[in-house]
Amino acid sequence: MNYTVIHDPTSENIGVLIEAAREVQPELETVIRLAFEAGIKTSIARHLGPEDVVGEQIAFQHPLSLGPTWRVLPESLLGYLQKLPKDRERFCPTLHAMTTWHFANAWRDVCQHAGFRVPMLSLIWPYEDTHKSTIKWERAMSYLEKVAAEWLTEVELEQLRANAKAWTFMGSKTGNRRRRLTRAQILAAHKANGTGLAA
Amino acid sequence: MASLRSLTGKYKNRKTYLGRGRDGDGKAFDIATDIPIEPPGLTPEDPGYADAKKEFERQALEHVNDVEARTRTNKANGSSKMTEEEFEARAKFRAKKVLGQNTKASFAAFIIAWLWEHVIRNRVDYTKTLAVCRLVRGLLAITKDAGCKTIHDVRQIHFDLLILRMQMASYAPSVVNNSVDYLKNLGRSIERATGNNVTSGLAKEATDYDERMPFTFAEVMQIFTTLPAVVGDKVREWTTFLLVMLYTEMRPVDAKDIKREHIIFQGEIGLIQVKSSKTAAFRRKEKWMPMHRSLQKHVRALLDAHSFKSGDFLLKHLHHMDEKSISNKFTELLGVADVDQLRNKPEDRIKEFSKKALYSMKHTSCAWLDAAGARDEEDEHDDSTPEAREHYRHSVVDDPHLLALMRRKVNLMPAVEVPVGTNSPA
Repeated sequence: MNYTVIHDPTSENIGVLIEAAREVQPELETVIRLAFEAGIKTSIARHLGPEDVVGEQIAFQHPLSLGPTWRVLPESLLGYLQKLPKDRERFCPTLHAMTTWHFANAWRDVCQHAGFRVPMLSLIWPYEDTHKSTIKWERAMSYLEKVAAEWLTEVELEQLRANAKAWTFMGSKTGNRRRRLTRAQILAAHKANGTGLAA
Repeated sequence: MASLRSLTGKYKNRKTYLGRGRDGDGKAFDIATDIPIEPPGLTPEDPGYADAKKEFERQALEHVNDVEARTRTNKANGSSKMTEEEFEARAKFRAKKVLGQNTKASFAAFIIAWLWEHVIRNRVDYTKTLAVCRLVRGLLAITKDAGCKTIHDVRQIHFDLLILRMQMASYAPSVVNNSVDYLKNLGRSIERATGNNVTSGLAKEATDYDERMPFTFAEVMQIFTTLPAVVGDKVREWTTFLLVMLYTEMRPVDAKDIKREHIIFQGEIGLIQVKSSKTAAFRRKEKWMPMHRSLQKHVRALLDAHSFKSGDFLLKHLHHMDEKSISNKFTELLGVADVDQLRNKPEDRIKEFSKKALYSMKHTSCAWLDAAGARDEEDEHDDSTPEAREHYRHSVVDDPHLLALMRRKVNLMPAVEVPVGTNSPA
């Protein structure tokens, strides 16, 4: 697919696009926010529902990953999702039912209303740029989850997850203590200590 | 009853427990153990640190008690009070007791716990994680077919079969060798819990990599002779650049970025700071080496001719060229110098050698330094902690004797006598 990025997905542009989406296709606001604030591709975000949110995390199936990816949602986005109607199976039932080209046309209409065009593809770029290491770590964890889910019972899996929390705080097994912690590990430590820096 | 030495006085720096016992005649003797005082991989802030430390202390005490009991003899028949079998059995029981929970767990639970701990604690990259997950899946499938319930049921043949399957499936030798490393690590965990060495049959395949041949000395001289015809007025920069690569093992990307501050003189001896961009994340340290007399002559002339400031790059044009452009120019030079660039494949190699290119200058340098016995092998100690790094840092800058020795060795490398240029670097 050929595309030209003339307008970047900056906070200002996203604000304008959300305003346009509210008038043209309100469900697209959810998709835009999931893409911009949580880095979830629009093609995945339009199929997500309230059941995918557990605590402050959301689970989704990344096409490049084997298992489910668990991503911590920022508070603003979490608050927004919690306010959405919970009686539906999906956050965006209309968008979920659309074919790919209808979905693309809906986005085109929003951009036309906003007066500029931002490729859907680029909505996740700011998140990807700032969370590179976290995204990689999530993929590693998704592989682990997949293997564990295949071979372990529920009880064993729970025990394993409990142990994994302790391992997160431990140093390297091989003695290379200079290996850097991932962003997720650093934040997990702050959250556990309640320093308030994790937000 | 034996006891453990208190960790004070002359024993305060001990890394492993030391016990004290008395033999049958009441004579005291020391019992060295290999049980660490500080639980490896844990810091005092880590959860589980206190329990692990206590457990190690208990293990050490049991061990020294057993060793003491082995030295006592029955007065009646003169035999040891504890037989070898009993001694072994107690040691095994101790191991089982410590890992009682693990030994009862299913094999899948044990191996997946090992996998998770390995990935999480060592922050393994996701691509490698995927590879280890595939390996674990393969092993689990084999052990499931064999009906293994716990880790006591797993045998060497299961591990051998997995590796054999990988070899039969035409995986590259390096992939299989990586798998052998991972499985050996897992095997050590199983051995600690059960006493069975299940990975003793695994061996790595002989392998080789895509490598470049070094230039011969005649080719190097040919390159320097042809240099003025190809690079024109930049000959001085190019000469310095190639000499730096040739005498310091630096890669092109590092050699083109040398600054004034990377050169110092101590009397007549010039030193250059050697950089390694490829391994910078692992080996962040200042490494200085004496310059070969051929290189020093050029650098000295360059510094005398121009007043460089501390942050200035010595090779101003090359510094602004990207690595690809430099490499292309060098390939052009090789063509003009009529240096053989064909790939060749010796009989016993799996892969053929890559054709000669700019990077071959580094390989030439490695070969020359090896021949002169001037390779710095201290780096092998440099991958654990900052303290260890500091301990093994023998800086030639601080030690005139070491400096003189290094210089003598460096000067054993073949001398490339090239006339010093006079054109401006700017």
